[in-house]
Amino acid sequence: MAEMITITVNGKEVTVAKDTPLLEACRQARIDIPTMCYNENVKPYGVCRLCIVEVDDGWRKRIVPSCVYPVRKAVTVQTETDEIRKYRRMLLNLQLARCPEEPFVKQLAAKYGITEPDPRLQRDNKDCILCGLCVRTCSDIVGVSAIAFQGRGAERMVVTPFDQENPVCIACGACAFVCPTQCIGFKDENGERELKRWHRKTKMIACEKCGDYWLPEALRDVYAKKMGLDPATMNVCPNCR
Amino acid sequence: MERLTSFEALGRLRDEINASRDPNKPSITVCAGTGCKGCGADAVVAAFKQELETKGLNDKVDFRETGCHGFCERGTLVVIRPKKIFYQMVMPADIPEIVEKTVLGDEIIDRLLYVDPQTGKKIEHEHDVPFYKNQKRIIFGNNGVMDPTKIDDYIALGGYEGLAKALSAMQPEQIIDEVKKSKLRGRGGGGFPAGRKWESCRKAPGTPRYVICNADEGDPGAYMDRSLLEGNPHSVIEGMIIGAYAIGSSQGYIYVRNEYPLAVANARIALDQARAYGLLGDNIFGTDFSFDIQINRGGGAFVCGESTALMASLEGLPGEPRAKFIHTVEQGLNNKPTNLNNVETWANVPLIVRDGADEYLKIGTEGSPGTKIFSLVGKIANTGLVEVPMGITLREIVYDVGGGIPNGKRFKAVQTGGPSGGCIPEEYLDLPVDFDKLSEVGSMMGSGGMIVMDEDTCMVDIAKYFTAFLADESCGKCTPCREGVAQMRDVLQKICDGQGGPGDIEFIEELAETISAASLCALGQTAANPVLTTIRFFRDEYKTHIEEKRCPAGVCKALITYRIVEDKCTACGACKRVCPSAAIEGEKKVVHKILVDKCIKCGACIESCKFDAIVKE
Repeated sequence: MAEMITITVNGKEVTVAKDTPLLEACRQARIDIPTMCYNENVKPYGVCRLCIVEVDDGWRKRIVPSCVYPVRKAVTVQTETDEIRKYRRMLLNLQLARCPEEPFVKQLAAKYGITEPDPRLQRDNKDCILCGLCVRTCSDIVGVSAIAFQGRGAERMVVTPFDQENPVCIACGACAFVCPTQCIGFKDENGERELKRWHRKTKMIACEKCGDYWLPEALRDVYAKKMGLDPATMNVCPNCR
Repeated sequence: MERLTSFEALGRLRDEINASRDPNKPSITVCAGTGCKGCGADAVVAAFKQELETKGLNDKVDFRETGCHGFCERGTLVVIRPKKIFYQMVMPADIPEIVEKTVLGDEIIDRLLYVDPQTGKKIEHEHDVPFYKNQKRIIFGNNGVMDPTKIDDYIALGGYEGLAKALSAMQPEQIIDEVKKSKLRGRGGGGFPAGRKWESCRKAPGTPRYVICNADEGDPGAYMDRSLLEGNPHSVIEGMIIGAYAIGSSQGYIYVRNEYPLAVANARIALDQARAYGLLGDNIFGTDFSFDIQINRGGGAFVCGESTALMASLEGLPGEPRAKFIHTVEQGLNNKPTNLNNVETWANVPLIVRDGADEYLKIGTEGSPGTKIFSLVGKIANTGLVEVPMGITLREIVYDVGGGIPNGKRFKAVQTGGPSGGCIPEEYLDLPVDFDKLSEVGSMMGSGGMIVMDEDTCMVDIAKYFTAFLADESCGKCTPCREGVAQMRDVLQKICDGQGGPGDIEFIEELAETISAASLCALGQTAANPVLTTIRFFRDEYKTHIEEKRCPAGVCKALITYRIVEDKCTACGACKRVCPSAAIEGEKKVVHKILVDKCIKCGACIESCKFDAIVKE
């Protein structure tokens, strides 16, 4: 049995296993904390910083990002102090200035009363918030690392190597699935899957029974190998099995 | 070279080296650190070698190329022993005369001596020069007397005795206790107690454990770690071996930026020589303890000076930091317990072990014992590296060691701690310099950069410069640092361009607070310091830029105009000749005039005018 620790969040007690991310603990206590880069299925990354909360460990109070803060002590947590709301507003302001047209960002910003980025901020028109969910999903979950970050600071972006088609990509579409701004996306057409953002086009397999194109070839080959299956078992779609 | 298989062998070797050296034999040391190389030290070295060769003096005179002596303003530096005659600004043409008169003869060449600007007196000896006299060079002093590529030079000075003592007479826990007792604090910037860090690392579960030397110094204008690794690499290596023994590590890394080619080369030579003597590798001094060090060259990203980013880089990943709620002493490099210290911190360790913590505690302040090396640059008479005891005041550093502000200008501020440090104004000049005191005024020790500014420095422009540097160097991983610092730079740029508006200062403050509170690593958390301290101490200057559209220091081009003072202009035409944009009109005997529309505000006219007839407003 894992060691259990009871913490207090906004006055509510919640008991979790040691090393549970604080964000999970807060959510267990039904306390909503805004996030942009968090997905419970992917290892937390701690970059959007919206999930900051105030933690008092009895020795000092400090502001920490709850998604990467492991619960190790019986700490007292405040998630909505004036100070934290002020910082979140500025963070959302910054993201909104980066992506003024993205509904996902606009909605979250609106929750904090921001409809327009502060006029002092330079507006850009990006569709990606650099949360890294696609990159992490591709490497940690799919296990192929077809995409990665490139560039430093303001130049940072997610790309395939040299921004060209990457044969390693199995066109599974998991990146598109986790993307909070839905800026990746893919299209299945004429027996092909295309992920425009990654310049990737790959053939799909038609189901032997119903004839529907249902699975990218590359995905079948890589996963059959990984799971030790005969690729032929994947020639029939789940509906026809 | 024979391996040293016992502790006694080191003592014997040291005695042999010293016995073979005649202290009265004439010797020449030339500073060939990076600063002096910039002044032409390589040519001076070549000239000396040739002169000694042609005069057949190679056996009669010792010649040594050393690391940095610190007084970079006056390079190339040469010291002639045994009399310790100190020559500065030496050029290759001076060499035959130096050899003839001072090395072989007894004559001192007056024109090469340092003149004390206060008294006008010529000074013969290095230790009498005010720049050196007011320092306490326990770490840096040996740079001037040893050839960094010769391990025997280091051993002759008592090198590796700390290591011998540690391995022969001390248990790892005792060493940690000694370092804790010495209150040595990390010289890389944070000032975390080194002994406590070592202890946590030793106690952390998991093997192997690693020790790392952080030589990824990247602050603009800072080069003390570089000069230490270039000039005395063995002191760093010895510190690392002692640390590894105390922590229980068998593998160490020196992470040094590739822009420091001499540091890389000298560290590599030093490692090879230490291995040859059996001071690194298997069974050091014939004991059971084995340890080796590998050099890893960094690609020059500022953020890689942050410990977790550095470790990511060592692992072959992009140099990006991660959250440190689980400390690197528990899970660092390859997720194993890792102890990282900065170059200067490691160099302090041999002294503490060899001479004992009690001796070490005699220097510095109660909270911050020992010395600190600063790189003193900017508007200062004596640019260079200075090592001073902790607790010395800023005034003593700037005026006694640094020689004050050149050209009769007024001191305005000093930026400590590199780009993420703060600007400290004149009213705090008597602040004793240590980790805690600098934090109290919103700045920090940092790795030891110290940039002095005079009345001609615009504080908004300075804040913009450092903010721009940090925006460039931000890795971009977390939102507040990536987006926030760049936006802060742009707002500052607008203010400098005369486009600031009401509320800008308050907005910058709010943005800066968010960046400090919410950023992932120390780069972002401290990125706002230059802005926040300049606003705190020079708010009026910001206001003048915004409200009056004026730059009091005359730096921000959009806010200044050049004008010719009619009474003073002699119509000599000098300004007209140098103006690159034909913005000055005037005939002979007709007072000149600057055409504001054409003027590009380069300042060439001011420099050319002998009558102070041109003003910047």
